[in-house]
Amino acid sequence: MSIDTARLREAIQAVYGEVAGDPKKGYHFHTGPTYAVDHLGYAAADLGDLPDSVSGPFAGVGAPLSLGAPRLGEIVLDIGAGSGLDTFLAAKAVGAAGRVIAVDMTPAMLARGRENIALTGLEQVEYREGFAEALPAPDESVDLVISNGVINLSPDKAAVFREAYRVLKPGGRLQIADIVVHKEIPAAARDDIAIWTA
Amino acid sequence: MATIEAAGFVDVQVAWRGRPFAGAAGQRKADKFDTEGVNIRAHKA
Repeated sequence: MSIDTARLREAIQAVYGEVAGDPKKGYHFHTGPTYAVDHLGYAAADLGDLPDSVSGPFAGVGAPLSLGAPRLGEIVLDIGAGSGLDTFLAAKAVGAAGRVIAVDMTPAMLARGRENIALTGLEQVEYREGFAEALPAPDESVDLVISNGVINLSPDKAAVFREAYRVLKPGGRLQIADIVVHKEIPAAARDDIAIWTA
Repeated sequence: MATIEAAGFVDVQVAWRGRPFAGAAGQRKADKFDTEGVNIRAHKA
């Protein structure tokens, strides 16, 4: 595979930067809380008290917290947190004694997420700029790693999972949602940045 | 799944499968490659 990682990241930042600023514009993927409830099984009651600034730009593909809620006081790391739908749900679960590290590489999503901390008052959330392949967290420092619709965008998925493993404490959990394809993608398409973001 | 196990994770399980692109503008392209959404859990021993 000869994908240019820097160009791919720029293209992804452009798409999700636009989602952060204009989530209802209409994209090739669904966005927003109604989609999360109707397609992915999120509980409407859980999303009801989150501001639209959190749930509007949501563009996940599953529901990682449906695999098990974080426990009070735990440390959670969200890879590619975006505006923070799963991040802020996790923050409610861990409570004020816990912490949620929200990692994202897109400046507009980092800005939106930091605004959402103020909007929700959930100060246990901390947004950190970083890449999925080089998580900004120490070894064995996290109880739960979550991610939703992000790892498929990485050209080095093995590195992402190695990083998730590195930051987790022994016995720590990985709960992710993502897309998988069951038909072979032609080599030319795998090298086409437009395919990665479409 | 193999990539997750290769990183060292154990008890890797797919817990849900769905069609997140159903009804979206990208559905046709997603269907072309038989794309589905999955929830996966695993843990570090």
